[in-house]
Amino acid sequence: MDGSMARPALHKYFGQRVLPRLILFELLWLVLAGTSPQSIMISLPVVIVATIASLILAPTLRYPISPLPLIRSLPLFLFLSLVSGFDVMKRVFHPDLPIRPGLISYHTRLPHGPPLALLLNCISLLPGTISADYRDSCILVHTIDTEQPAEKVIKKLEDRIGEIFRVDPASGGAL
Amino acid sequence: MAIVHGFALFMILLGIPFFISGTIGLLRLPDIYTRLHALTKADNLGLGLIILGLILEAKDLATIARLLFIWFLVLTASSASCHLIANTALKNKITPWKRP
Repeated sequence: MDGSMARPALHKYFGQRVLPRLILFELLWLVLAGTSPQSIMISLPVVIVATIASLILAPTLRYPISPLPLIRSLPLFLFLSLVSGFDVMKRVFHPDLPIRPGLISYHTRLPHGPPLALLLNCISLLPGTISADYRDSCILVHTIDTEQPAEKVIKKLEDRIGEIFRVDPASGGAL
Repeated sequence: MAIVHGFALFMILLGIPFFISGTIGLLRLPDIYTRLHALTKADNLGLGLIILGLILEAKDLATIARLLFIWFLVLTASSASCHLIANTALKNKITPWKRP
């Protein structure tokens, strides 16, 4: 009796959570490593391990992504990545090594989960900042130049990420 | 076609100085945090430019998709590991270097 009760739930779990991830990771492997039979044989255990890891680390993907703001934000991300590469180059080749590093904290109102993870990752791509810690909706940012207006750029990024995940950082998000 | 080849070569050559500046940064900068800045940012841009050059030389769409995937995965992995290294350094109480 118990077994037959649990089966539909298990089917649903497999169909909605496990199967899409298995297919996604296998496709990713095929694109990266090609379609030779040996490669596919190696891919099977790897894809299964990746699926288990992703189910543990990100059990649900609650946040729907709106594609339009994401596409509109891509040029900004690319531009910032370009600026930060030049910024590093300028500093490390300069004979005086012009850096004034320090820690600053940034208060974010993005909710936990994918939006916050994306912000933390993107901060490390911005010119002169890397995200070092997160506690009580405060992000600890290491900046290479404390006289640079890091907060302004992070704020801009936070607004864009809010649009992508359809949460309003100003109103406290979906909470 | 010659213009495309020239532009591809230009992009790849442009990417190299960024990789070099990442390594120069690793050698010249004073602590783990500032070195992370150099390695993640400069190498990301260097890789981006080289990938762009290679895309121009790619023969089919599958190769282009593969190159873009590689760039995206390296970008994601490098920013995530940058955060994890900085976070671990802080937890181990490594004080960030300050200009005296």
